[in-house]
Amino acid sequence: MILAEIINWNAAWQAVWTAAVGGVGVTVVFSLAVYGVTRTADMRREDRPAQAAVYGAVALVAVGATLAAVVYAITLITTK
Amino acid sequence: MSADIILVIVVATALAFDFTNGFHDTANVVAASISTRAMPPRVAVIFAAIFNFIGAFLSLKVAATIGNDIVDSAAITMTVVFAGLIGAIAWNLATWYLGLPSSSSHALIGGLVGAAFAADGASVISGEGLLGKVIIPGLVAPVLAFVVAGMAIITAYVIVRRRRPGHVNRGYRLGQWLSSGLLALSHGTNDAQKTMGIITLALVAHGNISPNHFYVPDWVVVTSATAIALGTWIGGWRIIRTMGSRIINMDPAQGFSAQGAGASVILAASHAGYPLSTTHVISGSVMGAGAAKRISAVRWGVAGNIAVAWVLTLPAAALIGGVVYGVTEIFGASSALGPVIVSGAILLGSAVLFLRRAAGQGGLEATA
Repeated sequence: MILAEIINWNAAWQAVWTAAVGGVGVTVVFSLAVYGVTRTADMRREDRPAQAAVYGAVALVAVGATLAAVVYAITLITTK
Repeated sequence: MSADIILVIVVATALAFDFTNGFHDTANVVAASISTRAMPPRVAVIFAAIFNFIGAFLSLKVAATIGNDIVDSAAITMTVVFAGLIGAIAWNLATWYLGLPSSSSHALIGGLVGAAFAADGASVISGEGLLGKVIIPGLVAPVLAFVVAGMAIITAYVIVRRRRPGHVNRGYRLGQWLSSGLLALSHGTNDAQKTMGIITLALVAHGNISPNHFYVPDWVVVTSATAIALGTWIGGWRIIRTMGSRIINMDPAQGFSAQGAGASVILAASHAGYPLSTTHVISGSVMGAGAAKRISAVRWGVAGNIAVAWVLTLPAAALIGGVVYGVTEIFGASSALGPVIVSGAILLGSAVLFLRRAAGQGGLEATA
């Protein structure tokens, strides 16, 4: 009961989920970028340009998402 | 005149504390990048110092917590701030000499609380702020970092499991430039702000800032950022020299996950105004990334050290802070003589400890 009054649960919960989503999310999207790049190389080696283009696009989007997540996090902390 | 002298001593002591914070924490920030060979050691250190400096400008919420939410800033005197700082420094020195684990952040907060308690009693300490903004977030954060890093590395391994390790490692090494920069940025923002909060508290006590309109002056931000960045940079050269002895074994994917999770937890906490032990958070994330791959990779000794540091640091630093306040009071509440004598004593004590430690190491090396 006392803890419930002392802690700002709203702020605490926001910090926890932001940290969890940010930490796991950035690793997931960057891993997709790594996956996309390595698959693109494989497809090129196997002379499959269409698949290589698709995986290349996945990599590009994932790199963009990683950078966007980082920029968003910094913007959030500096503006709010 | 006395008040001005005490203010100068407090600001100089706080900046020295900030410098040692950067000096000690360089290893945490750069270890993962160096051990995975994502960056050459020299580049990693310079990179960390630059991002530590930038990070200090990102937010001021942690500084506001230190200055406003733990003790009643209106009731605090410069002697209290000074005694709190000395309590933290003395505890850090003692634990360094004895090889006991400690947290600079907890020592700083403990010292301040102890000195404030000795000066004005429990009424000036905000139990709510201490528990809700320091103790509970500080307990939760390393566990959260452990879980987040663990979840991150498991998903990363699922995504890249059938890929060629050489290509995957190259990719994550590249990514570590980003995660490492983010970690240094988060370290700078949380740790430098603690010093900013302490200096601002001294300015409130000196009468430069009204307690009702608490703000951190620009020069405080710039000097604190510079001190922590310089500490990181100079501390880094020591690490480069001792490279290979205490480095963590991890692959680049683990390094990326650990750094990303650590940065994420520290940034989220900084945004909420929670002053964390960044060392504990980074240790938690490194252990989480290791445990997810192999449970035996968890360095339970490090986890135990964190627990010991938790139990000891806050009360011990508080006790020293209280005693230092009592000693300075002997010379008069507004006299600069007490802080001058205590500063001299702590400098002398530090020199003795450093010399004894150096002599001990020399002896060990000679017998090895």
